[in-house]
Amino acid sequence: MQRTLEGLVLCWVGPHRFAVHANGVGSIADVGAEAPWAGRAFEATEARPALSRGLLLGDAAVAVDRLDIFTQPCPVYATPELCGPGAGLEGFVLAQGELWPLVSVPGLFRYLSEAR
Amino acid sequence: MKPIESLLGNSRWLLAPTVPAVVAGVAVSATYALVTLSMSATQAFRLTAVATAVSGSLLLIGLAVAQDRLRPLSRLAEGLLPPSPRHLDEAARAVLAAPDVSFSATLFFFSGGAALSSLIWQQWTRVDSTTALRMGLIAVTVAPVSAVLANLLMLPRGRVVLDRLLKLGLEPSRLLEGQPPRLELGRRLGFFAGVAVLAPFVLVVDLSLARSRELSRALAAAGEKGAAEVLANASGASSLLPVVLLGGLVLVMVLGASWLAGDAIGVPLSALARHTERVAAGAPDAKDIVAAEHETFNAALALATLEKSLTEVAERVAGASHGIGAATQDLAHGVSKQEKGAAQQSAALAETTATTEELARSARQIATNASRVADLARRALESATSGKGAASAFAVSMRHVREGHQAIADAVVRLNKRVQQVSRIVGFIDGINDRSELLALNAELEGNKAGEVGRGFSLVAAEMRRLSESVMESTREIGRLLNDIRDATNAAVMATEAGVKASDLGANLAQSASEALERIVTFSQQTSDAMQSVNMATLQQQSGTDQLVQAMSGILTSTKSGVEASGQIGTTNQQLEALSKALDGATARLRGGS
Repeated sequence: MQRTLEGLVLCWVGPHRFAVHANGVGSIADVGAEAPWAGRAFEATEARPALSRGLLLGDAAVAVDRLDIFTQPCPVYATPELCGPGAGLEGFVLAQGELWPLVSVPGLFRYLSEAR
Repeated sequence: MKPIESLLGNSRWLLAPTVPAVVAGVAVSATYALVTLSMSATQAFRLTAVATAVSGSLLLIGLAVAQDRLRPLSRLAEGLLPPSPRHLDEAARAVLAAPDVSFSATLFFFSGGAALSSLIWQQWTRVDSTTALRMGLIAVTVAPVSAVLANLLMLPRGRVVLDRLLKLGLEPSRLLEGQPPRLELGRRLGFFAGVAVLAPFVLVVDLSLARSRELSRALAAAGEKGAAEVLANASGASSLLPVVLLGGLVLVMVLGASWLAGDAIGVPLSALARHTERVAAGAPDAKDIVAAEHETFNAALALATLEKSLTEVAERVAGASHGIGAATQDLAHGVSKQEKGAAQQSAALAETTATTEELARSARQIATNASRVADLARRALESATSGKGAASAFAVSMRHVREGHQAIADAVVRLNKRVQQVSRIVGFIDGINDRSELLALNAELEGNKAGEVGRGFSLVAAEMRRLSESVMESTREIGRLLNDIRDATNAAVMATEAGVKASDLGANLAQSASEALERIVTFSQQTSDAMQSVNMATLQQQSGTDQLVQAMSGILTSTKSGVEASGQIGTTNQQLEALSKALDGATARLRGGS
């Protein structure tokens, strides 16, 4: 049976994008330079934009360029074996007609902190 | 110092004739002795050897002595002494004395050598003293002939060297002091003639006596029977041949000495004659002196002095003649110029008279024109006054324009401040909207987390977020508009500032124009006054011009008289110039055609 998720936070960083489950986000706030920018997960050398929003969950915080909240139910696809655990990738969701990588804020935060 | 090429080796060359003279004397003496004295072959050989050795040694000593007397010449030639007048004079003295030195040395050493040779020969061959004495007597008799020969042979060479010294700058007048005064020319010639006569005479007498004694001894020895044979032998060709040869040799020596003596006098006299002819022909040259000896040389120096005096006198006369000629030419030139100037003056005076009359007419015309100019000046004054008023009004207008520009600039500045205030307000609204959008986002997130219960809340939050986004878009548009307004106000500020500057410039120009017109008014007033003065002066000028015409007439008459007087002076000058040229021709010949 196809698994679905309802309530996603769709995030854009540079030319890339990913999705976070709304329940995995504590709050949304303006963040400073202390929070790692999610874009670096895709391109290590890309500079962080001046204006950004932060996804907060406990001690973890990840900055993104832009975000939106998507409330429709979306099908979830499991992560292929080839991808491995990586940056907290939890699968893929189909939203707005496109496939989005589904990540968790703590996992992405940990990955970015280790890569610093 | 560099050696003097023309004098190098001259001293040796000068003394060289001594050698052949001595050799000839020795040869004659030896031959005579061999012919007249009865001696064996051994004795003859020893005589020849002794004569050769002694004469050669004494000749070398004599040459060394003479060479030492010529030391000033050799040192000058080698560059050891500078060719100064003093050293040239010393060298010339040595050269002039060289023939006499050679004569004395030859006479002394030849006689001494003869005595010494006789003594040595007697001791060596053990001949009797009479024979040795005769031998010495023969040589002593020949010695003056050799000495005269050496002297006469050296004279021409001495003249050549003296001529070279003269070319090097020797001062001829000093040579008079260098002339050895021992023997004058007449006494010298008498001595030479005596030697030329006495020497052969002595030898002939000696030969005759010797032959007579020899014949007497032969006749006595032969007796009456052999006398005829002895006499035949004595008059034979074989017996007479040596005597003839000896006589010929003596004759050659004597004739040679006589010929050289004549040449010693004749050559310089011929040169003096040619020199005198050249002076007579009008080509004197005081520096060209005939090199000679004794009275002949004195005559040459006197002739040179005469030439010098003649040249100096001629030059002085020529200078005076030139001066007269130049003065006459200058005078003639001046008279000519004066005549020409007087003619030009006469023509100019006539022209001036006509011009003066024209001047009077012009003065009246000038007065009329001055009146017109004064009228024009008055009109110019009125125009300038009117222009000055217009310029003042223009300046006032420019001040108003400047004030208007300044007001616009102030208003634009105020507007700019308002725009900045609005920008700050918009920024403030933008910040609030950002916070609202963030709150709406979190509210929507929380609504989603609540699931179905929070769906309504989430929808409201989403709508609030969209409103916030709309407000954000509006504030961005307002910001762009405010930026446009700010740019426009900045451009307006710059334009109004340029307008203020332009209006300031216009006001200044208007002020300058007003001041210039003020000065024009002043100048016009002065011009009018000046024209009035000109009118008065023109009237006075008319009166003065009439008086000038009368004066010009008097000057014209005087000028004509001056022209006539100049003509008379010119005629006199031509006569004076002809006289000067004749005098020039006469002195040119005296000065050597220069």
